[in-house]
Amino acid sequence: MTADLEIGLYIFMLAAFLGYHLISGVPPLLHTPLMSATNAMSGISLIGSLVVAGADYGAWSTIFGFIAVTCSATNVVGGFLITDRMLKMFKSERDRSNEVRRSPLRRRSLLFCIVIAVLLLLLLYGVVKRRNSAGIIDAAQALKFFYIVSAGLFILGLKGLSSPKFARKGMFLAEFGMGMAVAGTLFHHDIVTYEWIIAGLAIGAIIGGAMGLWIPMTAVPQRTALSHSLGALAATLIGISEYLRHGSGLDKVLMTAIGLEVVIGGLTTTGSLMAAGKLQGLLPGVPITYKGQNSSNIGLLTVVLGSLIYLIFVPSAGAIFFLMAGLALLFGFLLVIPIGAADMPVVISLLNSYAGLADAAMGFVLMNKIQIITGSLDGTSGFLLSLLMCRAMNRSAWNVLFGAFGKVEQAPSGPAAGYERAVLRIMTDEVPALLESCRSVIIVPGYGMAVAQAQHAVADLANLLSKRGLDVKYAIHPVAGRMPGHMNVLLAEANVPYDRLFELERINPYFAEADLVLIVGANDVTNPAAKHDKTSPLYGMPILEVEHARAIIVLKRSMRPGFAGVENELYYNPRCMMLFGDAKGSLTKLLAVLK
Amino acid sequence: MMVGVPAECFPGERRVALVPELVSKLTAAGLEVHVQLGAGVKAGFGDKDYEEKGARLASDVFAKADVLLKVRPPIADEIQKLREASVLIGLLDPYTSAAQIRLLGARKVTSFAMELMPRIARAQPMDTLSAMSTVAGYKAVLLAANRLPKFFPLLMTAAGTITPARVFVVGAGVAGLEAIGTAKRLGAVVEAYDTRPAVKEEAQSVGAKFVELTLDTKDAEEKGGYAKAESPEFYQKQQEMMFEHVAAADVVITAALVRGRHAPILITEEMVRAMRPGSVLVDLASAQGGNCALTEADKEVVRYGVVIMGPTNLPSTMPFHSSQMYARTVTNFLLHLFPNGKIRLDLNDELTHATLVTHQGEMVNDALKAALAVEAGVS
Repeated sequence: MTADLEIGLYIFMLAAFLGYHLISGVPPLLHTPLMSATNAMSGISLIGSLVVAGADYGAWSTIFGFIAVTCSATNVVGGFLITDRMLKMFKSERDRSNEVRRSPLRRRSLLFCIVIAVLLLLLLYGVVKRRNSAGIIDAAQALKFFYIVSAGLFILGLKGLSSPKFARKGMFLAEFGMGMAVAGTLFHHDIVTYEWIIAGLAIGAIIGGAMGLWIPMTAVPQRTALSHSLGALAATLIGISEYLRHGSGLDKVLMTAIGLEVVIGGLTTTGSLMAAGKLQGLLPGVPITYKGQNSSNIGLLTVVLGSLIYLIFVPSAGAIFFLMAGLALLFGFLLVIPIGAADMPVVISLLNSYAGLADAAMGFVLMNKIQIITGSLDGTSGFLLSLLMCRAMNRSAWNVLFGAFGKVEQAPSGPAAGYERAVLRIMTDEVPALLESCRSVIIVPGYGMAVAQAQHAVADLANLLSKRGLDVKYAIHPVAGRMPGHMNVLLAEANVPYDRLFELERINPYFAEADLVLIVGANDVTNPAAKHDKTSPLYGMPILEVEHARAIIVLKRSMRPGFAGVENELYYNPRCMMLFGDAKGSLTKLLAVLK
Repeated sequence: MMVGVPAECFPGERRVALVPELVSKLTAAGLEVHVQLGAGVKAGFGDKDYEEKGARLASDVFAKADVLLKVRPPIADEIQKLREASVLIGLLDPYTSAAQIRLLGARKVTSFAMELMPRIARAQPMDTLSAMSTVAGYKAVLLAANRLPKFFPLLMTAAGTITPARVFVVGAGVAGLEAIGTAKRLGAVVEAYDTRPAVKEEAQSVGAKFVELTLDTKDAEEKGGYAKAESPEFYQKQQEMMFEHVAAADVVITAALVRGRHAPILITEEMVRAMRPGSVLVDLASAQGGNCALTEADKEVVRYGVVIMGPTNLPSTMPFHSSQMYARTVTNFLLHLFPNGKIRLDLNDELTHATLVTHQGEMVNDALKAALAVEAGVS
């Protein structure tokens, strides 16, 4: 193998490990910004697209390149804008009050960045001017330098996402990195014409900007899916154009890379399009299954891979190539339709991963190391995120992707299907930040606390919070637990004084002024469906009005329903966060973190 | 509409079907409340208390009541006094009072048995059985603790270490769970057993150690969460396995009931003989035959040195709160049936349908009919 390929493979592997570790550090709170950030970074396909669009290789190349530039630009602009919008929401109270003090610092760092940018552009200009004569700085070398810096900035950007405090700053670095890479590529020695490039960039920026600025937050998953589709389309088109350009002069390695780029890119294009459609409600949210689906899909995949292998040895078989591309597009469509709308977030994350892999393949095709790195980071991040999401839903990845085969999934009862059903997750080490601005806490114990025998941990936590000056009350629903007075006997054992315990009628008015409600293993007694959903078995039962509180944390083992066997609407309330795990375990960890 | 609350004439019954604090709830719904003189005295509620809350006192409430609230099933004389098409709500003992049900039907009374309330979420405020079982479970432990010549909790003193009492609760329904909780509060070491595997977690959640017996208990639970009757062979195997746990216990509390049937015998004479002298056994199923072969209803028996108690009406021994809880479930149900103070039955309502026993001269409860037919067929 060539030295380039060897290095490329090393980079791919290292970036994969790096990606895994970077993503492991991202809290579930930031998973959605992570997805749109990696989506924005997958716009690195812009680099390769710019070259193809501007190098005047041929008619098809230029047209495909132009489309790819537009798609990639949309991704970059839209992705970073949306990510920034989301990250803006994570400012804590303290940050807001510090805003006034921070502004001068902000202005200073902005100024700093502009100065650097200007210097770099001057550098580039100087390079261009001296293009044909031997200058101190060679264009190609400068570009390589730019790419290396960009790669570093991307990595820092992803690292920044491990905490809400640094997320926005990190993203800013990543945006700068992207800007550097793109700007540098404009001076690539292969590029001769700039019309298509400028047109593509402009259109892409306008579309991406519009999507990023005006799309409502609830539509972020759809937008992300659509972006993946566009990014994958860019990769696919570049792959096709490179195939056409090289004709039969393709060695095995290059053919493999192009083949993979087209196959993965193709299935991601249609797959993501389907995902976006399902999320937006344009396509039915219920899984569409039919007999023999499993075998026909496998069969299709076999044909696609078979064609790829054939092409590696007989690169001139153009018909086979286009057949392979077409079948890949079909496969993407078929892969996604049996998955329910409720599971779409996992699928999108997985497709994000595939889009990254397609980008990496494009990097191998164009021998562009920055694309290999970014594609690999993207690939692993998406993959790991999917696994984490499955775990959070307490289902295996296999069940999510292929579970609909063979059985009909029940339509979810409750709020309309077709909308995103992911719940917000919180980890124990994120709770102290939330508690900082709290003055009153209401604890809602339930059967889960009894099963975990967590009454002592609950009491310890309450005592700790009381010592810190917070007002702590317990809300005891008349049917909490499995026997009358269940909660009482346990809390008495933990020495919780009677005057801290409040029954339903007395505590309900207090929820509206509570800063935090901590639900420890209670479920049905907090389900708002009991108030308005006549089909619910809980209808008519008075509940604890926890939804009026400022923030709600639910300690629960999993998303399994409670005694009544129905989903709890409360968990989809934007102010409600799930802290999964055994009540006693979670509380013990929480106490350790607070002390 | 006039709601009547009589004094209970059943021997030993000290509860009353309505307590003063709930009178205002009924009058607020537009109902007139008539309470028989002295109805609540034995429970600790004087006539004045009722009057203050807006009730009227009367020497007899049966004849004029549109709705009669009772604790115990009415006797024949009382039924004869009822108005035709009046409503009766109470614990009617439907499975064992066929004759009385016929009388109610003949009198064209619309009767509701609180025991038949379905065990669904929204019926929980009307769940009389759970409320009464709570009282029974709690009181059983107090009776045992009082009779046991030992301490319940662990004490490490200069005069030696007092080991904690070992309490074995058989049947972890509401009464059983409450007994576990109360015994835990007093500091005993509690073990529990039930044929329904789903109950294991619940018993542990109150702090008991669940006794695992290797029996086939897959189908032990029927709809509604009640235990199912098993075969004689099953019970025999169960007895063998429970032997050592019973023998080692200082206190055994049995609360194993099967709905509508004779209670299963779980503790044989042999098992009692193996218990230490001074131990106590409280049989909460004595009203339905008892879980122990040696139980005598409402009597305290000492056999082989073991005190065996078979109280049939523990709620009556705590009439203040048990009346309060009973009254709340009944008033919740009453207001559910007649929300606007008018007698208008919605026969499609799940709760109405399940608890209605007689209506317009007929016995209309299908489940009851089936159960009684089975009994008739068997006996």
